[in-house]
Amino acid sequence: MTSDLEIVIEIDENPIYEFSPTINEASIVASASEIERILKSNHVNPAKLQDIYEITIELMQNILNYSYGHSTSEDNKKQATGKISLSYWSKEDVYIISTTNLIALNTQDKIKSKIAEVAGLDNKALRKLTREKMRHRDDKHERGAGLGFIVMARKSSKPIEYNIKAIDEQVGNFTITLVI
Amino acid sequence: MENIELKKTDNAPAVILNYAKGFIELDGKSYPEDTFEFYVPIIVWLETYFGGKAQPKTVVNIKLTYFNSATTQSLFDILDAIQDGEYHELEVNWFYDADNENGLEDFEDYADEFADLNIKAVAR
Repeated sequence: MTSDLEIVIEIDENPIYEFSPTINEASIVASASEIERILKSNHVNPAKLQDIYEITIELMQNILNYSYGHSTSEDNKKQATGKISLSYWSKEDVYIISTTNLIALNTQDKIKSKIAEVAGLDNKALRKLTREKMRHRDDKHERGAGLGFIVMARKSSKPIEYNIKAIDEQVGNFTITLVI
Repeated sequence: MENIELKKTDNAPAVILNYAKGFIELDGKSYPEDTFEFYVPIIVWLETYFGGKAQPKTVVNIKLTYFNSATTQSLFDILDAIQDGEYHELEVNWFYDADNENGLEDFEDYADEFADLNIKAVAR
């Protein structure tokens, strides 16, 4: 089983920032703010900073909303556990964001389908798909049209990589990795 | 119509929906925990305002910096409510960071999709 959320920021395998809170709205805000501060101090250009910041939030909110075993606290706030890491590889000048969390295995086909939908699409096709998804939602007061993976694919410079490893018959570890 | 004014937080934008002034503004980061729930009252207000109550001139300023995919969709719903509604003189401004090479990409998506609104890009 996973531990509490763990965030590691490293440069060429040398961590420059890490902590392990339980993921909830407050820890997402704190993590995002700290990541923004660190990237700005490292003079990351605004476009890359925006992509890293937004993907980090997207992945953390996915863990909060969809991971197996997520719960709601007494003050009606969601909380979950998972692991997230952000690394910088200087040779290629890319940032790699990876998260791992538990999923119910009966949701894996849906996850695979959503990632397969964006695989191999270029930015133009992804933008077109974004608009189609938004346009064809039936009820605008209902929850999402499944834009998360599309948005992530648009910001990632390489195809989304993922792995689902069963722990038992019902639960598995889901790891997803994006390169920016 | 009652106005809606929300102060900016670490993960939610400042919101101004001012009926008398015909002034609508979203300003800040947008990734609240329950993003859709956050935007529902805003969209309902807009549907009422543009459902026959619009002032002679309406100004809409979108000044969002970082936002999540649920906000992407909520923005679509906001602009959809405006485009499908009734209005007189309308000015929709999309503020973007001129130093960010991605700054115009989101604007272009919405400007193309909602061509009738003549959304203007404003560097800041």
